[in-house]
Amino acid sequence: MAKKEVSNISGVLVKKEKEILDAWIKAQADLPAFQKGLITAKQLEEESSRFLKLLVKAVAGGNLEDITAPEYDEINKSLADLSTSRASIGFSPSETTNFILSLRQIFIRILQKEFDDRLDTLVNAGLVFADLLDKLAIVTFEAYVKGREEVIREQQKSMLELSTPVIQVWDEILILPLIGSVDSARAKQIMESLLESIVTTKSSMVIIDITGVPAVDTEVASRLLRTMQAARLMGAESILTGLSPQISQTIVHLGVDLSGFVTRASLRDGLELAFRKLKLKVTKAEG
Amino acid sequence: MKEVKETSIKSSEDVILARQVAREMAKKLGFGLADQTRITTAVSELSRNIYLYAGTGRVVIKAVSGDSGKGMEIVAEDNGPGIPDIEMVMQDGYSTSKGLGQGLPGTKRLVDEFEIKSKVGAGTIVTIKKWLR
Repeated sequence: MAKKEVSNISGVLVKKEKEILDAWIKAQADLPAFQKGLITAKQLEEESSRFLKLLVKAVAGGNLEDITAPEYDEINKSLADLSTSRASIGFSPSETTNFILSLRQIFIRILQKEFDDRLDTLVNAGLVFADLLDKLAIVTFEAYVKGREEVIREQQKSMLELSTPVIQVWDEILILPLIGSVDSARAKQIMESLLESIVTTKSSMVIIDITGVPAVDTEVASRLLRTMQAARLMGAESILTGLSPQISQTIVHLGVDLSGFVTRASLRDGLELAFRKLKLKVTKAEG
Repeated sequence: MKEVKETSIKSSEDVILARQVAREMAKKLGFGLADQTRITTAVSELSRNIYLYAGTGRVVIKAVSGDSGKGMEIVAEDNGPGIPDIEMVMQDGYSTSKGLGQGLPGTKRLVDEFEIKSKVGAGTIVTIKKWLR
C-alpha cells in the first residue's frame, strides 16, 4: 500500500483516539467477562486507555505491519502483562483475546466514517487494521497460555513441596507415610527429615508406609533401602508397610532384595508388630 | 487400536509423565493390575535411564497386535553416550551410577520381549513388549 495511505490511516487513529476509546469501553462493558464482574469499570477504563495510548504511539511512525519492530515493544509487553494478569484472575482464553478483538469493529466503523467517499482506501485501511489487530490478538493469546503454564508450574511446585510429615505415633515409634512419587528431590528431603526425627524423638522403631506410592522401581527401592540402612545404623529398626500384591510381585521381578528388612502388607500390621517389639499391649478398657 | 503416545524425556518430572501415560494405556488395553504395575515400572526404569545417562530422549508407547494377540510396545530411545558392553549392563548388580544395578535386567524380567541396541557415541534404543493374555 502507498506510504501516504498508511500515514492517513494512522492519522485517523491518532485523531480519533478519544472517540475510539469511548466506543471500545462501551463495547467491552457488554461482554460477558465484564458482566461476570472479574474486573471493575475503573480497571477496564484504565487498561483500555493505556493500551490505546500505546497503540497510537506505536502506529504514529506509519508502521502498521511489523509488530516485532521496536516501536511495538512497549505494547507487546503491556499486552503480555495484561493477559497474564487476566489469566490469573480467571478470564477464559476467548474473553482475554476479546480485549483486542472487540476493537476491530470499532476501528472499521470509524474508518468508514472517515473514508466513506473513497472505497479503495476504506477496504485497504480495514484490511491493514484487521491484520494488525489479529497479530496483537495472537500476542495476547500466547501470553495467556504462558500465564496459564506459569500457574500450572507453580501448582506442580507446591505439590512437590507438599510436606510428608514424620509422625510420632507412640513413644519410640515413628511413622512415615509416603505419598506420590518418591523419585523426586522431595524424596531425598523426606528421608533426611526422617533420620533427623529418629534422633530428636529417640525412636527405635520406624514404620515406612508406601500404600500411597504408585510405582516402586529400582530408584525408589534403592532410596528406601538406603534410608532403612541409615536408620539401622542409628539404632532404629524399620518396618516397611503398605506393599500391595502388585508392588511385591514387581519388586521380586526387578530382583530387589528386601529380605534383610521387615515388611508387612498393611500399616496396621506394621504398627502391631512395632508395639509387640516394644513389649506394648493394646487392651480394651474395662467397664 | 492405533494408538501411539510419545513422551519426550528432559527432566525427572517427564519420567513421572511417561509412567502415567504407560499406566493409562495399559489400563485401556485391558491389562490386569499386576501387569499394569509391571509395565509402569518398566517404563519408569527405561525413562529414568534416559534421563540419568543421556539427559534427553523419548519414550514411544503404542498398542500393537501380533501372533500372541494384543499387546503394548514401548520404545525408549536416546542419542546419549551409548553402552559399550551390553552384556555387562544386563548382569544383575552391575551399575555405573549408585543404583542397585538391577534396572535393565529387572526390566527384562518384567516384560515378555526385550531388545536393546546401542552404539557408543550414537545412542541407545530399548524396545520392550508385553502381551495381553
